[in-house]
Amino acid sequence: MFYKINLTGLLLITLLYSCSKKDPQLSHVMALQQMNDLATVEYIVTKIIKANDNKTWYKMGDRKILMSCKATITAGIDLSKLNKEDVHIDGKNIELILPHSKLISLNIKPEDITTEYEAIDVLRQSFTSEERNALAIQAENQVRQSVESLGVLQTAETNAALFINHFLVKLGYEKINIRFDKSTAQKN
Amino acid sequence: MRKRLTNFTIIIALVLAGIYLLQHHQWLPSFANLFKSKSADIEKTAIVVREINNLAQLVTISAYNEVVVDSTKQGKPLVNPMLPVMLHLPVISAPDERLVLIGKGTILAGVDLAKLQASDIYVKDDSVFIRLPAAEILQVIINPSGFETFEESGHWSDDEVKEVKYKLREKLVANSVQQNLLPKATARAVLIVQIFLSNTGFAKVKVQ
Repeated sequence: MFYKINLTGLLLITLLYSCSKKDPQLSHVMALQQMNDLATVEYIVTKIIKANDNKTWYKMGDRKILMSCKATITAGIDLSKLNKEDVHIDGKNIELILPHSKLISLNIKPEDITTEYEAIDVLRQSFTSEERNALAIQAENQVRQSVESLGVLQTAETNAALFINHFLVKLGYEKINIRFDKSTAQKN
Repeated sequence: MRKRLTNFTIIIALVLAGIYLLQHHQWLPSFANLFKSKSADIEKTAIVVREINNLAQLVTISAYNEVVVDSTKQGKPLVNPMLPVMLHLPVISAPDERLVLIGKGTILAGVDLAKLQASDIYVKDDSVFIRLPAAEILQVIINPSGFETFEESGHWSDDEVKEVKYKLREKLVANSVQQNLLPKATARAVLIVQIFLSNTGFAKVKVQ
């Protein structure tokens, strides 16, 4: 009888303890990452987002939406890839081998996405914010895929060479030769 | 009678096994997919370049963070509120509308080297002194792929959703400022420029 009471008491205490124990609050963690990028160009591009939601066979009526979005593409070079071996100095002459450019960021601000037109049939509901966002994600992916064809990376390299050339002139160099590393050409 | 029942059972078993095999090899469309709502795909439209701007920004810190923001709109009265008041009855309203968003964003901080003036650079023989511009938040990036709708009830217009997203962005920036992002970005920029100048042949380098 004594053991029975003790066991019940222990069970009760355990239950009460487990109930009172709160889930640990998610701590405010910000993932910081060190970067060494010299951003040299920004392209501002626009895109029309056109969608027709009529593929689900059991849904009666159509929904059409037309949105516009503006994206900012930033590209540049990673300065951490520039080593001592990539720099050759001879008096007032300097030769630099820079790493190839890369995409630094793609930024589509919320204010840059606008719904221009929406046509909803009587039996359908209008697009929710989640559905509109899903369409914007598709546009974001299409813009990301087009970075190379837009020539952003080439412009970034031209601008990087120009900026570093100008900077080295300020530092007192007279003859500057800047090239891009052939070994990293395939990586971008 | 018994034989017929056995035959019938065998046929049913064979049909079921056949369906199972066809489904297993994905030769039959799944029933779940048949009633699955298909998402709308966007058309491949042209990407138009509006502007090309030259930059000289040294990005030294990227801070990734996740924040949650919610907004509630009070439900509208179902009937004209004057009527219940006149009849001394409680006003019946539609349920409150709620939007809860989770935003995953990145803040890029660093120094804008385009702001460097000629007076900020001093060179003498193999010594160099550079005074860098103050570090700043260069970009706050929360792309559509960074938003997740946790809860959405009622109708939320484009402008209302944008307002919630602005709140989310402000929260992200406030958090980064609290985490001393700018002093860290400055320290990193000083280090990068020091290394660059050492690599370009200067023996004595001072960056501030």
